Amino acid sequence: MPSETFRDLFEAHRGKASDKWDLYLKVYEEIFAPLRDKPMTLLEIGVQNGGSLDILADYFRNAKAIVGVDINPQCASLPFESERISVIIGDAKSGKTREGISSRAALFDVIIDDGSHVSNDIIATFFHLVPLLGDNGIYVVEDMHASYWKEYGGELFAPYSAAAFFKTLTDVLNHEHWSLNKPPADLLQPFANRVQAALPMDHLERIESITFLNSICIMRKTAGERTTLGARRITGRESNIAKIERFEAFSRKAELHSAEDYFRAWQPQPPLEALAAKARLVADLKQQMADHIEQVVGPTRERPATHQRTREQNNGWMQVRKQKRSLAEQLNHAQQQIGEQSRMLIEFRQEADQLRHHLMQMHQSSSWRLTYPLRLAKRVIRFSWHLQHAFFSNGSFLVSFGFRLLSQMLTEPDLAEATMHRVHTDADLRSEIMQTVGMTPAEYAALSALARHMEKGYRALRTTGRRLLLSRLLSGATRAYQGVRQRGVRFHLDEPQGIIVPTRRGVVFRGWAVDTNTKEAAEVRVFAGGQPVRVDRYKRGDVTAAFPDQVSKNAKAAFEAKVALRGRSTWVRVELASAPDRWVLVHRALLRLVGSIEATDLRSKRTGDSAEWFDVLQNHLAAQIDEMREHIDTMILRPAFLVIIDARKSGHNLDVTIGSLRAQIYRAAGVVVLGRDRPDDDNNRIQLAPAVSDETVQWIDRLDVCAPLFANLDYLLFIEPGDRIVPSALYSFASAINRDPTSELIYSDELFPTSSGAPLPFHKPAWSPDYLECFDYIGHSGVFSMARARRLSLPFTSVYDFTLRFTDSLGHDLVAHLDDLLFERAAPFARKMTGDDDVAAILGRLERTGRNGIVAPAPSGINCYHARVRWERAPEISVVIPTAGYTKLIAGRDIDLIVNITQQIVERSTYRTAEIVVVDNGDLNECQKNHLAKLGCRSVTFEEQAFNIAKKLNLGASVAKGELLLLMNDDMEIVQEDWIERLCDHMAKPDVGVVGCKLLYPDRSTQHVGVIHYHGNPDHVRRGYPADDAGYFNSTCGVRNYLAVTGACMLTRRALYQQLGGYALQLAVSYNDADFCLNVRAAGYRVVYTGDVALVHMESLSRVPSANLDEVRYYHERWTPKLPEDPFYNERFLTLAPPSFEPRTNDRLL
Amino acid sequence: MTDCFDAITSRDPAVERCSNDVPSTAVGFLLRGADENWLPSARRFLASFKAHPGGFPHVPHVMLKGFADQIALSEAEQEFRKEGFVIRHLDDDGFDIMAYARWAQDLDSEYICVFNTHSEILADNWLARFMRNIIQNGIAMVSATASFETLNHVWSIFPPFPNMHLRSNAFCLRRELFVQCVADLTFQKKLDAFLFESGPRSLTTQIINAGKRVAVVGRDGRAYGPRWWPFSGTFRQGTQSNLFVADNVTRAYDEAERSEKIRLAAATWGDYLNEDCPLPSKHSLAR
Repeated sequence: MPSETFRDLFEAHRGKASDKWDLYLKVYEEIFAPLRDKPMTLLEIGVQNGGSLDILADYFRNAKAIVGVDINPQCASLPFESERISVIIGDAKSGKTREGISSRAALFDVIIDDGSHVSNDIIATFFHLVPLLGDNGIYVVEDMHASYWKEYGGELFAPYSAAAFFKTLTDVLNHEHWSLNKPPADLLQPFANRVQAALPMDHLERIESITFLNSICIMRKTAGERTTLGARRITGRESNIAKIERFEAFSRKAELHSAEDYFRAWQPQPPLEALAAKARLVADLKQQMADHIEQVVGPTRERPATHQRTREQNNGWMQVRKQKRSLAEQLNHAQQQIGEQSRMLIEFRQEADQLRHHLMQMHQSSSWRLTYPLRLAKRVIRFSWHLQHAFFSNGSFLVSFGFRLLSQMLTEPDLAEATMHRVHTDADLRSEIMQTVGMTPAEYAALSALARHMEKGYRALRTTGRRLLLSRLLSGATRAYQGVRQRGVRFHLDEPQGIIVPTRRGVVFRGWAVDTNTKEAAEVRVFAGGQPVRVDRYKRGDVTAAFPDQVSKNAKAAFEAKVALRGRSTWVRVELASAPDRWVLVHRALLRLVGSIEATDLRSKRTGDSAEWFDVLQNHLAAQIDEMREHIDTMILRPAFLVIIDARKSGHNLDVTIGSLRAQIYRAAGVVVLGRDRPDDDNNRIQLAPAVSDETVQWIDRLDVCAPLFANLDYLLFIEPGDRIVPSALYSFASAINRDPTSELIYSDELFPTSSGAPLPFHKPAWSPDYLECFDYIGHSGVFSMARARRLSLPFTSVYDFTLRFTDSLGHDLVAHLDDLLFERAAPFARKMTGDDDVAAILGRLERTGRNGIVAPAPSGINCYHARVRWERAPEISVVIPTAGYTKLIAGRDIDLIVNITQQIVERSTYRTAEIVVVDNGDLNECQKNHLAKLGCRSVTFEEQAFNIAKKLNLGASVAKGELLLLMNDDMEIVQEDWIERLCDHMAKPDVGVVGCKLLYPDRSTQHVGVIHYHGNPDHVRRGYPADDAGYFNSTCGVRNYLAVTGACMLTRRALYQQLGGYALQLAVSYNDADFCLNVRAAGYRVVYTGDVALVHMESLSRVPSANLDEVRYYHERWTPKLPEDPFYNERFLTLAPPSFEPRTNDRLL
Repeated sequence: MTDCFDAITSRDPAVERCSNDVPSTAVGFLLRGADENWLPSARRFLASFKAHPGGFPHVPHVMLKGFADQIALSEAEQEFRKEGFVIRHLDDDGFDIMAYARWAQDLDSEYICVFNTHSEILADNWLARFMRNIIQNGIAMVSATASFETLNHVWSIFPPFPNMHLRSNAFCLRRELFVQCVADLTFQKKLDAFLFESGPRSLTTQIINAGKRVAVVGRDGRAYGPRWWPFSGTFRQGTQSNLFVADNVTRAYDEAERSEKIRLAAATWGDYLNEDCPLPSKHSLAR
């Protein structure tokens, strides 16, 4: 007998590779040892590299045949030393392969299944090959652990896994004990059905043992026909403890054969088909859940497709809500009118009865008959006047009627539901209304046209006093258009409607035109007074969505043409291309001048050109001069202004400045030129024109606000030689002082010249102490209370230093901002030759306010600096990061966001934070958890199912320990080592509650440099500009006060956060950061943006912000009454869509 | 700061009440007991009256009308009597304007300044602001608020937009002029009250047609002629920062959402809010 064990042979084997688990080597030795020297036959499914067959051939030296089966054709070329080894290529389950196997040996003593390990394959192979297993044969299935793996068709409780099959086979082995009249085949048939194999019951019933070991299953086949327990055998005679009935038949079948027992025994066991069906159901549910989660969470991952869909849905919702709100507003108004009219009607009727009686008496009098000719003449004169008003009175009644009808429609629950959930376009809305109220399209069209015309007329009547009803009724498409429309070319003019359009300057024609034949935009051309007008085309989502299959999504369906009024009236024609070079008239309109020509004197084209508008505003002021003078005469307070012309560096154009002071309608009490002795050379000596060099101008070489010379003066204004102030400037300041006598500092906007010739207006924010600390934004455009200056005994080195000293502890309620352009600077806004004075001024501010630090210039700024604080004791900071544990593909690399940001905070930051608190959803993987643990991060799990970022942040903040909270998104990248220090710089100021920073897109363009409000909604300013953009008067590179900053990276005080209750829970997704910032401001703290810190925010550049409408409503109701306009952004004279600080004139709405 | 009107704008209430050197002025506050919020309204006005000196000698009156029971009436009398108000009881008919008329007819003062039930004074020297413009600038009637709004869409008899009129919540004029303007009018219906404020024969129109000037006075003290009303910063404009007498309508504007504010501003001023849309010539009545 050979001495080498199976293990010895395996370990000594060289050549073709083979792999076996250690346990197998031991088990094989035990079960194969009895066969080792016999002339046995062996079949192995799964040849792989052939090493296993070599080892088995070595082990079974007397084996007659060792056959390997593999589906891989390459195995056929494997060379084997032993001739006993043969390899068959094919699927072990197929009949052909089985024939091949049978040709090698009729029966096998050992069959080893080391094939695919897929459960179905194992079971099918077993069914196919068990008939080839000889008496007392051994069937081994290796790698049974795969039957617990999903990818191999298994799972722990999978009903059709290989493990489940062999477990079931043990039941078949014990069939005689089932006590049921159920054949064993019933139990196995589902497996056979599943693998589509015949059930070899004769052979299966001969399995006498099934042995389960770790990952291996061994079956033995009996030599007899079937396995039986055999007869009960008893030996011995004494059974004192437990009595043994020697003649008791071991059968319980009779007791359980009733149907009830059958079901009791079988029904609780779910049939395998049912289990399989449930498994499928579970799988479907999982898929549905995954889909649902994807729908909900998808947008936060910014998947383009999902995001696009969400955006479109939101747009649809917004439109519907907007329409609903607009209709509701009109409805309320109309209802009020109806109520008033009804009440009045009753009163009128009562009065009419009385009057009728009096009238009858009067008509019978002789005096009445004698005065008839006079009354007739009066009637004729007033005839036309009454006729007009009667007509429009009826019109307003019809409008009221239309609104009442709409009210009924909207109060229909079905329609409301439809409007809320299904309506996406105007066409949908029309369809829903018609369906709900049972109108025919013709009826609807007539009614809606009437309502539209009446409503337009009604509005025009209220706002311009012009009666447009007639023109509305006459508007509409021409007959030619009807023909084009039938051919699939669709056209719509949004505005203006009607053929008579009153205007003061011009009209924008807007609408859309599409050709459903070509699926593209239809050409449109516009003529004004016979001359062609430029037509701009652009995409419009609602139009393409309204024609989903008929118009390409990229079609520039919308058009816009700006038509200027030429003279008193201008005819405009709008034409549509029906075919190449064929045009049809679709609309015509007559633009008519409103008011008189004289009234247009001040008129300017509201084109956004600041220069033109500066002239308009100046003319507007000039026209008020008389009234202003009258006001000056009656002013309760007459502040005495001291104007100091700082000519220490240059006296160039001093006479221009003095001349503009002379032109003031409110005269300065004193004008002082500072620096008469500089410069020394004669060429530069200050020269004044004889006309202005009179005794009213004082000359001093040093400024002392406490000097007796200035004893009776109230306010101080600095100005530079060459600068001009508009004639009403000092009056405006005086007026503001009368409006609020407590003001100690009042500043205004100013205008700078540029090299291009177009002046650059500096529309300033409301009082911004942090902005002032980086850049002298008040400069030479403010008046300072002399009383305060004297009280503080301010020394004077530079105007900036003076301003900083003056405002060291100045309350915000003592500062006023006039958003009028009162100053015209002589020099462009440009970098100073040296910024030493500015640096010294800021350093002085730091020292006075108890801060130790340095001043560094802002790299791309103009005269802009950052004060950087050295802390004696750096504040403890808790970084709170909510995360969903996502991995994001950014710039071609997969980034595990939470791992990435935490690692960067630790490795790329010089500031040692107290802690990092990660708020997860309980679904972080082990790798992420290990990483966070390794970095020492604290993890808290947000348990709630509903997404609510506000709650997540509040949860994180509640466990944080630091005195400052740094709230961050996980999709950030740190690109600056001292970023936390620079954020903390501003927390050294006790009145600062929130600090935000510059965030960049991955392409390094600006994503966030502050948040402003326009039309009541928060929005990022200056998005998409280069990272080194200085901004509008250092708005990006410097420090600015805003209403809010983004919550993507926000430093705040923990105590303040807790005091305010953290983020509002009602704002689960949107606006919660802005809401928090506004709460911070309401609590008396400032919100600061700093350009001294930049981070990369891995947010998609193409992402369009979307918001939940309920949250928008909550936000609007909460804040827009208090903040109708953003005090830090001039909504009138800066761009709004997008808010980029570009000068532009917008309509005044409030 | 220099105050050229120092002689008659002392903050001393005693001086305000009894100077013989200046025209006599009666300040009337109308309190209507039928208004369920009459007490808070009265207290709000009184608090503001006490907090902000008028800056001009005057005698304060309160016009009480529409009180359903004697207890409420006594309470109202007590509230005002302790602040030195002259109590005047009036019938609750003819709407507010009729009460003003009856009160004015019985006075002997040269000027009257009237506040309605919802008024609240917001700044010091409120009467001085009115009176300086009347006395020094010869303006016939001044008010804290004005509007271009019209009811023409409801009643055709009202002038079309822009329908310039001074609102009657807080106004000041020569008593004789006021009595003259209301002499021929009856106020039986609400419409009459509306017509008197903004109809074709409104108080404003009557004064203008008589060749006199009307103006809105802001907190800054300036008298804005009709052409500049949309730029006065008073009624339904921006944050109403130049307003110095508030009422329920201005408060409603303050509390409205932005979109509603815009709607109200448009209804009140239309496109005339923009500097490049001045009033047509026939309406340019500032000078």
